[in-house]
Amino acid sequence: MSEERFREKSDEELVRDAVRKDEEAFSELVRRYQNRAVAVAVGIVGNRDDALDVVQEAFLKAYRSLRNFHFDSKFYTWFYRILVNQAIDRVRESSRRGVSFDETWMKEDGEAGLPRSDYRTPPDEAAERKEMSAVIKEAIESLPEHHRTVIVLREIEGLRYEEIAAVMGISIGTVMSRLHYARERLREKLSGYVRGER
Amino acid sequence: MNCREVREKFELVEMGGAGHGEAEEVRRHLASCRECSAYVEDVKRTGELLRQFVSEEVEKVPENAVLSRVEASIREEREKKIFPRFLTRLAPVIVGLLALAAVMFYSSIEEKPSRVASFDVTVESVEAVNATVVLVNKGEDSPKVIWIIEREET
Repeated sequence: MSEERFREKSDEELVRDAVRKDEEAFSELVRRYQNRAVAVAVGIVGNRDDALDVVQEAFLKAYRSLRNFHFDSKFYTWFYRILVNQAIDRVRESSRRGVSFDETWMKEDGEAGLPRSDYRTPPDEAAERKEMSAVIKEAIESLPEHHRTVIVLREIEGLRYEEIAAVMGISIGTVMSRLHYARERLREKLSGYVRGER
Repeated sequence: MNCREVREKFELVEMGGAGHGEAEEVRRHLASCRECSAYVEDVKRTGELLRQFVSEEVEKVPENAVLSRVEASIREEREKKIFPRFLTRLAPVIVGLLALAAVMFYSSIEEKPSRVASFDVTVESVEAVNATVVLVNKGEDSPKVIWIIEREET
C-alpha cells in the first residue's frame, strides 16, 4: 500500500518527504537502492557480510544528513559518495586488522569453505567456481581502494565517467586513468579466465 | 594517438562522450592495432567476470535484508533520542525516589489526626467492678473503634 504511494515519486521528492519526517519515504529510497548498493559494496569490500554492514551504515548516515542534501546533484550521486567512503573506510580498517578474504569466507561457510549455493552443484563445477571466485576476489583486492572503486562503479553499477567523477570528487581524466590502471591489473591477474585458458 | 591513449578513451568513444575527430582516431587505431583490439575484448570479458562474481554474492542476500536492518537502526536511534542513555542508566534511581516519595506521601496522610464527629458508646461487658467500654466513631464511611476502656485502663 505504502509502496504504491511512492512509486510515482522521484528520488528528490522522496527526500523532501523524508525530511518532513515521513519515514516511509526514506524506506522507499532504501528499497530502490539497496540491491545496487550491496553490489557496489561487495565489489569494494569483497564479501557480503561486510558489504551489508557498510550499506546499512551508509543509509543511516544518509538518513541523518538528509537536511544537508541541497538538491544540487542527483540523490544517488550523493548517496553513492557516502557509500563509497564507508566501503573504503571498511577496507582500510580490515587491512589494519589484517583480515584476509579467506577468513571471512571460512567464517560464513564452515569447514568446506564453499559458497552455500554451490552445495547443490556438482563437486567439480563447485570447486571450479570457488576457485574462480577466489581468483577474482584476490584480483580485486590487489587494487588500491580508489582504483577498485572506480572499476566497481563502472563495471558493476554502470555509471558514466562524469557520474563516477561526481561521486568520487575527481576529474573525468582521473577516472579514465584509474580505470585504465585497474583494467590492466585485472587483465593481468585474470588472464587465464579472460582468455578462456581455464 | 598512442596505445595508452586509445585504451583510456575507447570506452568514452563507445559511450558517445568523445568528440567526432577523436572518436574517429580511436576507431582507426583499433582497426589497425591487434594488441589494442585484444585489450578491448579482454576488458569486456573482465567486466563480465566481475559482474558474475558480484551477482553471485548479492543473490545470497535475503530480500529486503538491508531495509529491515536500516529500519531497525532508525527505530533504535529514535528510541535513544526519546530516552537518552543517561536517563536509562538513572531509571532504577528514579523509580526508587518515586517509590520513596509515594511512601512518604501516604504515611503523611495516615498521620493526620481524624476528627471525630460523633461516636457511639457501647458497653461490651460488665463484671463486678470491671467493664469494657468501646467508643465507635460513626463519622466515617465505616464505623471504626477509636478507644477501648477496659478494667479502668485505656
